[in-house]
Amino acid sequence: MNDLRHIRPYGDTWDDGKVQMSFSLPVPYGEEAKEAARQYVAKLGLLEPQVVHAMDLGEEMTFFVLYAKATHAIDFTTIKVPKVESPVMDFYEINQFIKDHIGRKVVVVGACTGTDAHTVGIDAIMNMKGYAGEYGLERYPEIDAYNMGSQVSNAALIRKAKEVNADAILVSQVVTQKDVHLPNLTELVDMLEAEGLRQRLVVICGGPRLNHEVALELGYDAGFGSGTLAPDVASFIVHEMVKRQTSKF
Amino acid sequence: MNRSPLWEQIDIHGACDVSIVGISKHAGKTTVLGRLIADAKEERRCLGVASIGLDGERVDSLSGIPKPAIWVPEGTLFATAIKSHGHNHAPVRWLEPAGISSPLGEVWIGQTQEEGPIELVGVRQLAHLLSLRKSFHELGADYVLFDGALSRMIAVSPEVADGVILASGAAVGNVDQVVRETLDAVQKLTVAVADAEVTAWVRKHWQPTGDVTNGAEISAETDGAPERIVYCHGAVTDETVLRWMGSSAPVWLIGRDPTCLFVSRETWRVFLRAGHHLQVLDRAPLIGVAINPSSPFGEPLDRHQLLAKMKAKIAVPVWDVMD
Repeated sequence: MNDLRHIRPYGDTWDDGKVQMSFSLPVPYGEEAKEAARQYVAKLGLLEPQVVHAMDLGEEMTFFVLYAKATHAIDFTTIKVPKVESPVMDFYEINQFIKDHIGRKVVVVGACTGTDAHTVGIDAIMNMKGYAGEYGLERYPEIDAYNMGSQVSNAALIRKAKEVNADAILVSQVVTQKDVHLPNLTELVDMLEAEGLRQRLVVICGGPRLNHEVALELGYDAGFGSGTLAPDVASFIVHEMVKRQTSKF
Repeated sequence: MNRSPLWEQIDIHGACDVSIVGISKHAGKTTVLGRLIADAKEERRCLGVASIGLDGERVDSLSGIPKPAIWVPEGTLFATAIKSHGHNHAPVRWLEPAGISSPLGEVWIGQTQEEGPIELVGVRQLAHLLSLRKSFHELGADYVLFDGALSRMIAVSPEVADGVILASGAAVGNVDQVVRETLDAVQKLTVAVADAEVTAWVRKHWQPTGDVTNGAEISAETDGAPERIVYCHGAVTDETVLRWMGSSAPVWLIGRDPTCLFVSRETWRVFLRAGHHLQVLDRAPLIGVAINPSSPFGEPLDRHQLLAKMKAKIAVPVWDVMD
């Protein structure tokens, strides 16, 4: 019987709690290294750590793969993940929706801000050719998309948004080591408030470590993670714009 | 009964709407909020509580680090996305929709019917805070507490708060790093307010003509004196400051309030040393600085050393909220 209130990993048999993990330690390859890896995993609270693979990486580094047994269980029934409630439409539906409900072109400005030079995310959403068989926003006849590229300052992004009278801002943050993306993302929303623009813009962030919950914490309207395609983002923007026509905020 | 040192200072300033902001994530904002709520219960103050980020969830959504829960007494007013309020939270009577939609659903204002934990989620904008403050007071709150998010400063806007508490903690580094970051935040929060003459000049010459004009600047040389007043209605950035840095006459660069200042430590320092001034039209008073010597990332700091260094350099009261 599958008890969703106590979920543990499944390895070889039901509820055995078996997990696999891999990591490197800065120690020379050998039996001592394997013992160090075992002890480290035991310290993490996992039982029966077993080194199933160890490899000399050179430079006094060793890579390991271990199996171990987890004792903790989680209650699946209490898990809540915020999702965008508006339906995801396709390319044609989105353009038709804009014609029917907004009656003018939707203006979207996107950029990788701060020191981030990784445009792979913003390009997948915005570039004409798109990604994974979905056109990017530049291809949408009813959307005016401006992709500012990488290493854009928050001030420059806001200047552009004002210049083209944007409806939505997309910010991509791929580099997140030591959480460098957080001060940068929060500065943008606070600057938009200072400029009096926050209320009339749909502000969205995207990147591998972002999701809707994080976005809410940062003060964004939505946050899209890996695997997001242009129609996901465009559907959210146009529904949000229409919702705002009738709501208080 | 011992009076709460935090509420005592709030009362000295006559503040009713207090915002708690931090120098970083995990600076201890929620701990301060919890302390204020617990002390308010002792003194029977009715509170309205909201967060501009995400509060009360057990594990931090960004780092996975456990966060303090928000435990409130019966009768507390609060705003949250109704769907995030689960059966493990305090029983609540939902009073009215706040008119705020979020990816977690509609935000409502509720009142706890018994004591217990709550979550605060869904509020994101200054406009949301303004609207909630009004509703909370109308529904009977004596005091409104706004919890900031990460290092966001928007909640200190004098439009929403008449008092500010700064939370500062070990999450940013060692004692000296924490003190330096705190001093930067204090400099911003206690920036000089322009005198009556300058304020009158701005009010006379600044003509808001719709929201599109935000961010515009007006400037003039003052009559007879070799000085220039520059008023910037939107964000004052390094770029703004550098534009006036080379001016041979002293410049009085005036921003709207501390939430509009995005000037780096170094640029600010050089600007002042060049004989110029950076001021604001209005700001909420800084009631005090609450320090949190523990860090989610490692060893706690020496609290006595941290307190002593802070107190030596900061003119407002400094507390260790864990005391």
